Parts: sequence; structure tokens; C-alpha cells
Amino acid sequence: MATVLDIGCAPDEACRLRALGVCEGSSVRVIDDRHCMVLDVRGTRLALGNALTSGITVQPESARI
Amino acid sequence: MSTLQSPESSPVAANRSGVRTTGSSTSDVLRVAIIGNPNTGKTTLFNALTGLRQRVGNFAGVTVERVEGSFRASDGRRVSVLDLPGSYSLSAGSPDEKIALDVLLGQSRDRWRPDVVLVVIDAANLERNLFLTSQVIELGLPVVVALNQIDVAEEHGINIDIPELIHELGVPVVPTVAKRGQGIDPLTNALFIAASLPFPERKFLLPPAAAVALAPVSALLVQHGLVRCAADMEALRLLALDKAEAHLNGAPGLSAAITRAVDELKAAGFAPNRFESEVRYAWIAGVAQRTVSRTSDKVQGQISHRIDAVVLHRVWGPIIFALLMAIVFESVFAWAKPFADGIQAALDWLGTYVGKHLPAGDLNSLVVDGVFGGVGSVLVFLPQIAILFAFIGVLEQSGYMARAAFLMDRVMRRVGLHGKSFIPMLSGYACAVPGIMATRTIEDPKDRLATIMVVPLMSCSARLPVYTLLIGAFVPAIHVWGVVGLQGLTMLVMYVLGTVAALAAAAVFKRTLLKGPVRPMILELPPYRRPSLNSLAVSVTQRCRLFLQRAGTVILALSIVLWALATYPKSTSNPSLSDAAQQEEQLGHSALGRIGHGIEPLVRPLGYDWKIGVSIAASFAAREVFVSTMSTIYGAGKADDNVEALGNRLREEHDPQTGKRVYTPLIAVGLMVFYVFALMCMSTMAVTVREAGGGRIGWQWAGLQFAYMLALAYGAAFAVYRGGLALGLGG
Repeated sequence: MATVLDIGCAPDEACRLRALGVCEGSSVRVIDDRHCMVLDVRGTRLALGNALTSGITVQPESARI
Repeated sequence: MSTLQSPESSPVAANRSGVRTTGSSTSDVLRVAIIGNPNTGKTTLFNALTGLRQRVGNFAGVTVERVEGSFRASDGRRVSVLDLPGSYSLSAGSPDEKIALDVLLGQSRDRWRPDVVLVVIDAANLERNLFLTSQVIELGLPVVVALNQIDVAEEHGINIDIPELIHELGVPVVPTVAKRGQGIDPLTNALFIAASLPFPERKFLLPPAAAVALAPVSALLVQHGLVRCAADMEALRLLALDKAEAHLNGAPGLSAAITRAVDELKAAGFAPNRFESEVRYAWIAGVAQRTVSRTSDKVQGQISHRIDAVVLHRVWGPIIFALLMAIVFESVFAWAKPFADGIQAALDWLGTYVGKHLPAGDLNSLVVDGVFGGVGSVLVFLPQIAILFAFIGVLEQSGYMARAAFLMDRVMRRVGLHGKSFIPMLSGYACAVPGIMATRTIEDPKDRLATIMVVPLMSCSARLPVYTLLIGAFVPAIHVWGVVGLQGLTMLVMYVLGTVAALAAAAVFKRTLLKGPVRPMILELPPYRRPSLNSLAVSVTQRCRLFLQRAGTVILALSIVLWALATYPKSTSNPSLSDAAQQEEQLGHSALGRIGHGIEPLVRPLGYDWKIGVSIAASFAAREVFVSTMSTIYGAGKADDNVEALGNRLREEHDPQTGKRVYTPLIAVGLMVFYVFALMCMSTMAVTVREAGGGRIGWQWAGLQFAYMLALAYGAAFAVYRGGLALGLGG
């Protein structure tokens, strides 16, 4: 698990992410991180492209991300 | 939003007090807009409400699908329902969300304004769904919330205190299970009740410093015609947007006001770009805490996670995907055939029956060849469309479609497309018509158009008769390297050629005409669910009806035009000639034949004579007509019965003057390559016109599609023929 600290993507993409529940302070769990990332956030599973995930800063809660 | 309206014209400004003073609507029809996150069962609920009474079209000026339906409440009152595109928020980040916002603010170009907004929420995922709900509540319109899939939530031990939720949101909340039609009547009642209730308003307070900072922006928006609460919602929303002024469409002073508000918020220690999400989610967390209780520790979506472990597995994932796609492809390709044959046989029988009872002559020929032939060429696609959309429906409703898009995203991204373009392109192998219709699952309009433009390059089943004839006649049935048949290999090369061309063309379109930023992937992988048969039946029927209505009329008209071109002007009958020879002479004399002669100079460089020219011209309607026209010209009888005989005739055909063979294997290969690329199918064109936006814009895209594919076909056939000659392969 990890907590989102900052979303540094383009404003419109950041808007979409926040509407999907990925916002500063929310807990995320990384399921898969091959060519893109699969996350669990607020009970939803999301697949996010690298261009997005590289702009998101998180702080690990229990496991390293 | 695109424009700001004057107070007089505003649907919301007239009710600034927040209390409705007049009836719910100017007419006796209650207009309801349905909105909700994707995967909440919104469309299933829409289908459960309206059944088959739906009209499908596009929102004015854009390629976003617009579905409107209607029904009568139990007491006979009429309700008209507009299904808005699935949206996660009203932030207008995508064209879909912008349309939803425009409709809700009464600013859509088609002037449709809702009396009530129905927000569909996934009960098992309350928090995320409340984000959109909280925005809709602030728009100054009556709102009803459908708490859908309540059964799934309860299965997972999630209990929602509905009276408390009604209190928290300040709007009616009705639990529903749309898949089973549960809760529909109470929901309908709630819609009528909500229409006469005071408007809901924002349910949380901003920190005082932020409220002060945003007040001037709200005031300015009110001046521009928005109701107070909608202005507050807009002021908050615009903070997070890139180039907020673009969303305001030149409203004087607003851009500067926003800049000032942003500076003040920063000075007060807030982060403006995430301010809206922070305040909304803080309120949502409180609502969830007071309304949701868990009676079991069962982790939600555990089964889905287990399925995903296999379906998205590095090795198994692609294998399962390939197997599923093979089944879809095979079913559209093969399962549809008996039905298509049945339809064809029934039409043939009917045509013969009608033909017998009509006096011989032009009317008979028009009805039998023109109308029945034309209608037949449309109806035979129907089984393919029904089967493909049944599969797409199952894949979408079950949740697998998002996984398929995820698996294919990396490959498709290389040519500038999205993972979701894969299924339409694959369907194109069977038939471009359902393939183009399947592009509706792609949200980005540019990605969607690029996919529509290249789908017809995938070799469809209608090209098979052409390939079969030419390969059978000119490619020797030998084996290469002892195992691979050369005929099969040639067929495979044709399929690969089309596929590579489609990907390359997509890359070109995405870099030129349809240039746009490649949006990073944001894909929700919804929990797996059992599809609803009812909803599936409605959507398949809807697609079939749409195809028959729109494409059918155009195709019927073009069939009659082509029939007339092949029939007039008439040649004088010469009794000494055989029927076949008379047919050949008639065709040569007709307008179509003259076109063939006319275009001979154009097809000469490809090595073709007028007869091939005529066959190509005739096959504009449908490429398989090439075979039947050739067999008419060569008097080989019905092509389907005797492709082999026709092949033999073609091989033996010699030029009477030079004594050389008319058809060489090189010409045959060139001709096949021509058919790989050429868009000779009016069903496809009719569907492209519709799906690319309809009207003039639709025709322009369809025209471009036809032109670029014809240019590609001509260029490739020319290169094959001339290149072959240069290499000494002419014999």
C-alpha cells in the first residue's frame, strides 16, 4: 500500500485521475507494473499508462512501490 | 462549457430562488437525463426503463453517440430519457464529459434540457461515484439518485443506510437492480416527485478564506446567466483546468478573475489545482462514514482479482485473448454463414416468385435484380452484425473488454491508436460494416475516426470470392518447402498486406489529419459480472435496426442506380447470339459498359482490358459483384456454381489480335492487390457516412476514405504489374 503525495501530470489528466479516486492522500495498491501500472484505489481497479504514473509521487505505507 | 447564456434564456436562471414555481416542464413530457460513471449499469437501467423505444443518433456536430428513449409511467404520464455518455466527473476532460455538462447546463446545441437528472451510482463503489453526484447536485436541477447493483453491494456485506443517504445528499435515493428490473416503478415515481421538490444545493461549506477567494468568480458567472449554485460549482471546477479561459469561451473578465482567485487561494495555503477534489472527497468520506456499514470482511472484488491474475497474466493473458478473439472471428466468419445463406435463399425464392408474377420486361428486372438483389446485399450482413454485437455486448458487460484493451494497448499505441481500436479492426476481417459500428466503444473522437478510416483495409469476407477465383485460376497448386501450399500462402499474403496497410494508414492519419496528443492510458478494469440477457437483446436489436434503417435506404437507392446503369441504354437484340453473348453485348452497350470502355485508358497501365474495367466499375457496389460480372461477361453461368469454369475461361482467354494471353498470373496478382486496398463496398461507405458524424462531414470522411483507398489500390496494382514486367515476370 502507498499514499499518493502529489499528482504532477498535465492538469486535465490530473483532473481525470482525481475524479477516478486517485487524488492526494488516497491509498493505492500496485497490482502489476509491467508496461503500465495496475492499481487498486478506493475499491476500483485502474490501469494507468507510464506517462501518467511517472508523474505521481507516492509514499509507501507497508511495502515499497 | 462552450458558451455562456443570457439570463433570459437560462433554464436555471429563471429559478434563482431555488424553488420551482411553475410546472415541471413546458410540455406534458417529463425529460430526464441519465448520467453516471461507466460500469454502473447506467445503460442497463436505461434499457430497463425504455425497452426498445429508443432513437440512436449523434449529438449535434460531434461523433458522440446520443441515445434517447421514452416510456409511460404506470399512470400514463410520458417520460423522455436521454442517456448521457458515461462520465467520471463534469470536469469536461473528454468530449463525452463536455457533452454531458453542456446538456445539464442547458447549453447543448440540440437545445435539449432535462427537467430531472437521474444519477446512477454503483452501490458497491459509493465513494468514487459520489464525486460526480456531488457535482450534479450543484447544477440547479432536480436530481434523483439510483443506487444500482444494490444486490452486489449486499453480497459483499456492504450495507447502505438509505434514509441517511437521502438526508446527506438532499435528493431522493432509490435502490435498484437494473439487470433484473427491480426498483423501476419507485424510481419512476421519484422522478416525478423530484420535479416538484426544491432544487438541491451544495452540501458542504468551503473554508472561509477559499469562499472569499472564489466569490468574485461565482458572481461573474451569475452575471453571465448561471444560477448561483451552478456558478459556485463552475468556479470550483475551473480552478483545476488547464487553460480555463478556453472553457469560458471569451466571457469577459473571467480569466482574470480566476487568476486572482488562484493567487488568493495559494496565499491562503491551498493548492488550487487539487482544491476541488480535496473538498469533495473530504465531504464524501464523511458521508460514507455515516451511511455505509460493513457486515463482513469479505474483500470486494476478490473473485475478479483471481480471474485477473490469469487473464492479465504475462503468458496466459495473451493466449486467452488470442483464443477468445479466434472464437469471435470464427463466429462472425462462419457461424453467420448459414443464416446469411438462408436469407439469400429466401430472397432468391421471393425474387423468383415475384419475377414469375410480374410481366417480363424492365419492371421485372428492376424488382428482381435491382430491388431484391440490392436488399439481399444488405440483409446478408445482418447475421454477422447480430453475432458480432452479441459478442461485443458479452465482452463489455462481463468486464473483459477493458482487459482486452489493456492487453492490446501497447501494440496499438505504436501506430498512435488505442487498445480499444483492436476489436473493430479484428471484426474488419469478417466485415467492415460491423467493425466500423464497433468503433463506438472508442471515446476519443480522433482515435475513433482514424479507426473507422482504416477498418475497411482489413480483408473482409466479401474479398474472399475474388481471391478464390483469381488464386484458383492463376496460382499453381504446388507446395513450397514441401509443406506450405502456394495457394494458401498467397491468400495469407493478401490478408497480411491488408493488415499492415491498415496499421500504417492509421499511423499516417494520426500524424496528419487526425493529429492529436496521444492520451496516456487511463482505464478502469471493472469487476467481472454476468451479462444481462435483456440488455444484450436490446442492444443487439438496436444495432441491427440502426443498420437496416440507415444503411439500407442508401444501399437500396444505389442498387437501383447501378441496375439502371447496367440496363440502359438497351442494345438491339440479335436472335443469332446465345443468351450469354446477348448478355455480354447488352453489358457492353449499357452505360456501365461505356464507363468500362471509358476507363479502359485508366486501367490499361495496370494491364487490364475493358472487361475488367467494367467488372471493377460494377463491383463498386459490392466487391463480390466482380466475380458475377466477370462470369456474365464470359458466359460461365452463375459464378457461385462454377468458379472453376470461369477460372478456366480466364486462363484460356487470348487477345484475338496479338494471340497473347489476356490474363497472366502477374495481372491476377495485381488485381488481387487492387482488391486488397480498394474500398468497393457501398454498405461500408454508407456506414462510414453515418459513423463519422453524418451529413456533410460524414460524406467528406467517406469520400476521403474511398479516394485514399482507391489511390492506394491503383498505386499498388501499378507497382506490382510494372515491377513484375521489369523483372521479366510478364508471361
